[in-house]
Amino acid sequence: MKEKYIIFLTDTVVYFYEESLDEHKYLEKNFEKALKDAQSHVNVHSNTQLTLLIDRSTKELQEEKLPRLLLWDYVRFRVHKKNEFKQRKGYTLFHLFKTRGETFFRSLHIPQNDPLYSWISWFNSLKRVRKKAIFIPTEIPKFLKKNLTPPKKYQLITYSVSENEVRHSIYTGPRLLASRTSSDNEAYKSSLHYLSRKFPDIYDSLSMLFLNKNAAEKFEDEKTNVNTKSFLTFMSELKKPSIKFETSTRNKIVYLYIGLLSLLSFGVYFSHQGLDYKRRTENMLKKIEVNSRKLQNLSSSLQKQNGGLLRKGLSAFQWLKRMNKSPLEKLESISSLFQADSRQLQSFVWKNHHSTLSMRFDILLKYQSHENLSNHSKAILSSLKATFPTGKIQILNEPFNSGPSETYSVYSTDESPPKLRIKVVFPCD
Amino acid sequence: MVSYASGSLIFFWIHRLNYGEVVENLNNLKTRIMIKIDDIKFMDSHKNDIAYLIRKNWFSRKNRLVAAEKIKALHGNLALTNIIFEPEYYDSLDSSYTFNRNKIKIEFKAFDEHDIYAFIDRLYQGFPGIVIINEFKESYQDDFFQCQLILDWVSFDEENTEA
Repeated sequence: MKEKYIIFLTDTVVYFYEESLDEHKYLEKNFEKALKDAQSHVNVHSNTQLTLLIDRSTKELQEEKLPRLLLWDYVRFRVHKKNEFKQRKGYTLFHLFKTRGETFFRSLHIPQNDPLYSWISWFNSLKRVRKKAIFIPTEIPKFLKKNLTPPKKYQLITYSVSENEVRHSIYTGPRLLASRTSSDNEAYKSSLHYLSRKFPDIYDSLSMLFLNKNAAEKFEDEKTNVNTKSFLTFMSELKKPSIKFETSTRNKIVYLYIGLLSLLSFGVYFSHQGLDYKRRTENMLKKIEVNSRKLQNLSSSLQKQNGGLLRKGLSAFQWLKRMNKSPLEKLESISSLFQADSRQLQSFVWKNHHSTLSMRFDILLKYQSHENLSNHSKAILSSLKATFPTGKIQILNEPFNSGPSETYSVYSTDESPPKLRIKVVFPCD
Repeated sequence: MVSYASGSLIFFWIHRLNYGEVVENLNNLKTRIMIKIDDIKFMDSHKNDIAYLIRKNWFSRKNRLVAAEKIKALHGNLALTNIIFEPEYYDSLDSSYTFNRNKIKIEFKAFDEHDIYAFIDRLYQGFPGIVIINEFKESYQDDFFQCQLILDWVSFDEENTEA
């Protein structure tokens, strides 16, 4: 069966809570006797859950502002601090935190002569127990962040630590500025006054949370639905305290072994992988050698000819060949057309421009009468049509019709016969 | 142990990098071999065309003096009256290629038409380049055929043809 215990330690009181009995107890005011009392109440077994809430005066809590440090310098600083704490003996906890761009080193030292020392020793000696120790002053900022919305630059909290005592703590972000326990409900005012010398804007940007009844009644506008009980419940349920005890030496050895084993297996794995890559690289290099020789042979068989150039050149030539037309193809036909009396073809022009093929004929017509002339002209046209069935035949000039490009002289001494001008245009392929 | 682990990591890393580089080189080499094989196949299958183009100086610079001499040698029974080589210029001829073009005008006289056709045929075959006939004019005058041939002497312009 699961057993849950909460021990709340203040400067003057030890408060004990056992969940299964739902019972609250004030233990002896003497810390040593109270410890014995607590030991007798706690059943230690694997299902035991023990939470130690420590809320004492914060004189052992120190915060140092650190300059900007490189990682290496930070490691050196940490080692130096550890050695320093070792010499002081007792328990020391430390951690780093950042606020408003500044880094702080927070340490908590519990010397051997402190009554808390024996509590911590007992706590650390408990085995097979799920346990956690929470130092309330370092965790309050989390509570304030949750319950003060929107949080201002400075935060004040007051809560009862015993029947007659009230503790007030003032923070800016996670940084603790002041903390005091007093029987006076309004002792926080003097702390604020004191802090206002160093932080002049403290009154202007201050959020306040009063968990002790008397104070809360006075500040009606600051009323919230939280109280000391919910505050302690919040603290006891914190899963990751910001400051905690270092692991035991035995655990350290275990971790060290695990780390060394990991490093070893890491090293073995990567050496193996590296060797594998080395072997594969060597194989590849052999292949490269073979392929280089092959390439050399191929290059010499190509005799320095550029395949790309030949491809492009051939393709360009093939394109040009399609565009090219020879006049010889038509001249053969024309020759046979005028074979009967070749002298009647006075001139001939063959043109191949922009893929359009055209031919122009100037034909001299031999005739005996005008009727005969017209028939003769028609006969030539029909012969041309038969010879070039795909060609479009245009008559540019006929001797028996007036035309724009020829002068016809009736009494001319020129005895050359009338001329027929015809153009044949072939459509694009 | 830390130095062993970091040493093995460095060892692994160096060989991993080497391997990557070698693989890249091998792939590069394989690609080049593929291209060469492809070139050889292409040249085998187009052996005659390529030989013809090389013979016709399709890929080389033109020599006008040699060409003029060749025309003179090819004229046969014709009476050459004029040969004009116009300046060379680049032209795409509305294609994706670029060609070097030279316009050549050849004027000649002939007694017989068949000599003209034979000259044109010889020009196609024997001219030291690829020619396109753009215009052919023939007129019969005083028992002669007066002729004019306007040719385009075309060669491939590799530099200005886009890949």
